[in-house]
Amino acid sequence: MSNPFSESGGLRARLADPDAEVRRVAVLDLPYGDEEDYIALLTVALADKSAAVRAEAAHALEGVEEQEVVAALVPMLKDSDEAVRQAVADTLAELKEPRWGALLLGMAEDSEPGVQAAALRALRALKVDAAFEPAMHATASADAAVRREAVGVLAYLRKPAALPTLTRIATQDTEADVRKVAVGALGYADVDEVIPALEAALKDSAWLVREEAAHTLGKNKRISAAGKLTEAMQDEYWQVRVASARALGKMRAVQALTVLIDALGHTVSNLRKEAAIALGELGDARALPALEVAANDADPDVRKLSRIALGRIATAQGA
Amino acid sequence: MPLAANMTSVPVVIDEEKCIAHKGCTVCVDVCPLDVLAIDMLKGKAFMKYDECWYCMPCETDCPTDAVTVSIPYLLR
Repeated sequence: MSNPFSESGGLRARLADPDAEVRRVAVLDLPYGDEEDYIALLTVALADKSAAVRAEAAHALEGVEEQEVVAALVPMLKDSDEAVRQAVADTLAELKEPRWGALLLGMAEDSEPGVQAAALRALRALKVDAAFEPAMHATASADAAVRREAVGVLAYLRKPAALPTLTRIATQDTEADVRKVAVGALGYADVDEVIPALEAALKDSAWLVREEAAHTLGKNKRISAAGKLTEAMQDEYWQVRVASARALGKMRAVQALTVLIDALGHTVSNLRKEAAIALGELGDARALPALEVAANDADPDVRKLSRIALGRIATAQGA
Repeated sequence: MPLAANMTSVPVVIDEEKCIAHKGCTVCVDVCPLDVLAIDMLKGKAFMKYDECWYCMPCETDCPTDAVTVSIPYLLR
């Protein structure tokens, strides 16, 4: 074994050391060393016989967008070691340049769900049109992780053709996790057709889906959804109420005035804050008495936001 | 009555069985913002050289062999 304490220039020797732990530590040091060609050295380390070294090299190559590196990493989605597969998937997911689409598409229809999910996850941020068909197929997968990543790809591509599929998944998928991603994906659709699905998602059995539905309705800003959002202000989870209050404020839903004033008296200060902001956006003078009470709230944020809301209403009324 | 003049325990404890400092690893020393960890050159193991700690945890999180344990005082938990 080379003595790592006696020499500073022995990085290459350590990379070739017979001891896998020494090679692993050398890989950890590589990006911080003086080696000009550390990317090439890391690419070599990807083929190490020790899984720990391969995983460390895959981690270290995060953010490197070079042909040799990506070409070496993609087949490693099928590595025999779970930790290596995970490291490779994480590194590939950081890729940003569309030119890697061609390399990843081959894996996007893989029969192994873990490989397919990782490939779809990596394709998401690349936004390549060629990923559309594989992602549409993958939404029918039996594996929830594959469906979730497929929905992610479709969400980034923002194609109207995916809306019927996303709408169906948002309301009917068996996994709450997948429904939630699909509900969020519907935020790109500026059409009325998705609103019923989002309103249905406000009644989902999983509160995370209901919260996401309220957020998405706040993005789409269809005033027709104000009625269902007003009902969601009675949700048993205050997190859902917070998202609903925000959405109602954004769409300036005056019919929500009463529930928002009620929310100013809720025990959770996050909800009182959101209600104060929303009442400021409505700009309706009927909220003034309640906001004046909230301006002396125990929570300093609620006090501050109530005063801002009072100012906004005064401006709106004066204009 | 005997006096406890020396500190007998420090918050950052290294499992010397797991520590691979003798193989060139200095991750915990490098990440510590207070620079209170060091490598014992004779044993080839990391140790807490100065008893001062922010309990910020990168030494424990980043250790490639999970050899580092930080004992957070009860009142900080």
